Amino acid sequence: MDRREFTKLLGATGLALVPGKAAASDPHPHARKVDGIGVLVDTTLCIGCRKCEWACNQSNNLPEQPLSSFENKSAFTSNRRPDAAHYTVVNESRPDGEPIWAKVQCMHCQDPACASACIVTAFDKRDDGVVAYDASRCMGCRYCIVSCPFQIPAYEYDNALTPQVRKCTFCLERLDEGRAPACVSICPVECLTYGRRDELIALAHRKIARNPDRYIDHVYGEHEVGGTSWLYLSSVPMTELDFPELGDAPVPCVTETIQHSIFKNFVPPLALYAFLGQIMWLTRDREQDAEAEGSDAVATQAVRDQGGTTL
Amino acid sequence: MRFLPYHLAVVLFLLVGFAAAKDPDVGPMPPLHEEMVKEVECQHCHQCDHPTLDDPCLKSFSCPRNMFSATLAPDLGPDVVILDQLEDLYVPVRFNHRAHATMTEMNAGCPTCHHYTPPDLPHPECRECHPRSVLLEDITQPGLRGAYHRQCLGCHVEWDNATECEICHAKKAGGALQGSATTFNTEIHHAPIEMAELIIVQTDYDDGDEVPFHHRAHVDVYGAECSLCHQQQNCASCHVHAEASHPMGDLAEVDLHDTCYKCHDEDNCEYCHGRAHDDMFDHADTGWPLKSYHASVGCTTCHTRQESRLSKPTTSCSACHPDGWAGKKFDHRVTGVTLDEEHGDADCSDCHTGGVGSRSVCTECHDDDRVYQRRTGFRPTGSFD
Repeated sequence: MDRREFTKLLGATGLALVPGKAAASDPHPHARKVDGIGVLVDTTLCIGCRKCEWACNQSNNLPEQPLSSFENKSAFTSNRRPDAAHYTVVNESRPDGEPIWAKVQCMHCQDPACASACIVTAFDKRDDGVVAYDASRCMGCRYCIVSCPFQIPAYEYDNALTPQVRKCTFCLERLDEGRAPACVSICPVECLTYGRRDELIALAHRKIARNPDRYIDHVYGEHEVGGTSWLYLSSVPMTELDFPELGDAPVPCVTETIQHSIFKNFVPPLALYAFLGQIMWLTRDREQDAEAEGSDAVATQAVRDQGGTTL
Repeated sequence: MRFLPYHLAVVLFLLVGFAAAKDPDVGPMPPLHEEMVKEVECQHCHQCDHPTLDDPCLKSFSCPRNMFSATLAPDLGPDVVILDQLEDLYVPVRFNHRAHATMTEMNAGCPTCHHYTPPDLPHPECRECHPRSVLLEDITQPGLRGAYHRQCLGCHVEWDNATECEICHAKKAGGALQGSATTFNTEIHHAPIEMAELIIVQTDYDDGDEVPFHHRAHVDVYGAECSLCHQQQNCASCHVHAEASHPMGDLAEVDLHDTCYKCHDEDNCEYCHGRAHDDMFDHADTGWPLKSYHASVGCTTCHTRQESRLSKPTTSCSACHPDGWAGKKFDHRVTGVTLDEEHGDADCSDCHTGGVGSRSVCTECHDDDRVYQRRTGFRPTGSFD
């Protein structure tokens, strides 16, 4: 069983334990009301040139740098995942024989599971929509890695002293300079469109309406896990491009509902303690009674032995 | 302070009036506009607030796709275009415009790429609509780099799935454009397309399931342009991954009735369905056999082409030969017969009783059985006093 299967199993087990109410589409109470920025990926335009991977490595000072190493199409023979040294990868799928390329990176969820799972708030969904990671807070528990529905965060396992969780940063430094993320800027066919998320969704639906033969009528990421900042247009369902099939409820909606139900008004823990305390008390009483009866009998016998009378 | 409400009212009134004045007066619009105004602001294309049909006050460069387009002959454009406006990691692209223009002849022509050409203006350069850097404010318009790459790769990916950058431009090593821009072979044309003589189309029509289509005759004899039938065909509709497949593309996607009706809209079903394979059109069936000189003139010498149809010409000789045969254009002596004093006054049909070009008959005037043969001249057949 590899890591993916294990996490899938974990997820399935978790979902089985959730009461039906938790999966209802009520807006998650902690959902952040941000619509911020995003990127629309039009997979029908992507040509699999991998320039975005190269630009990402350049922008984020990741180890693999020469452009020539990204011109190797043999990378498409296996289905790759982002790792600590590659924040984004392009994968090739051939659902109908013809190649379709799709870029994979952190989706910057609207209601990120990683931020919900992180117990030291090292992950933050900023008002501009970016899910940012603060290494100075991170304690390395890697709950974020387990929680992510897209299995994006990676860990520097080979860094013994100061390991960090690594994932797409949305090129925060470039955004601060008013520039688009490095991958968006380099894309020769501009299959990546950077803009406001609501405008991107409108653009995506216009594209679908104009080219109903080119796209399926679904914008991946518009509703998945409560919405993501990265959105995908495609000619086939994204699940055929090895993207996970996800419901519309944010992941924290499930986990936090469990958590918050258990600790609601502190009644369940108190009730549990009261219940356990009662069991303890009942058990303890019987033993004490038995002990007390036993000691009384001994005392009576002693008095008789001394020839005296009891009161 | 008590004047404040009045001031506010005045300002409000002015604002409302100004806003109302700016609201464009939407009058009658050309047909395409109904759809277009749903997508773009009027100001996207028009400079003034009140465009009219007479004075549309169009901006030179506004770009609703395929709004206006014109097609020219491929050799009217440049042979080579150097695309160097975005030079960065790769050397500029030397784009063989001539070859690509020729390729589009089977498709939509120039608008295959030049999808916007304002009326009466040369088509704008790509960069005049597509900004060099993508504007975050306007995400609907692809930038120049996206526009170039999508335009090229749209076909090239279909063609052979090749997406390597080096197909069009070499990666920069030393820097500059290698070689001369004019070393292109601008004479690259599509290899001559093998044209079928006869295509027999199978149909499910009860009274004749076979429709013989004499392809070459339609092109060579009747002068049909390729694009009359082959519309909107791109490379990939004939080629699968750069290999020739079905030369016509998929016929199932073509409405053959609509295609044939362009010319044969007055013919009944049996004209095509169940017609004998060798039953070719014979011009003589129209009562005008194409003999001698008339066989060598093109169709449009006599017929005018109205859209794809040929008009019915007049059968009056003088319509084409107003000067008769005695004029400068035709010297009757080349036939061996000099139209001398005796014969010059005769009408054509006095001798050519069988119609134009038919053998002349002498016996209408001469009762001595003389005949005229072109090679031997006059020859008496009977007693000749």
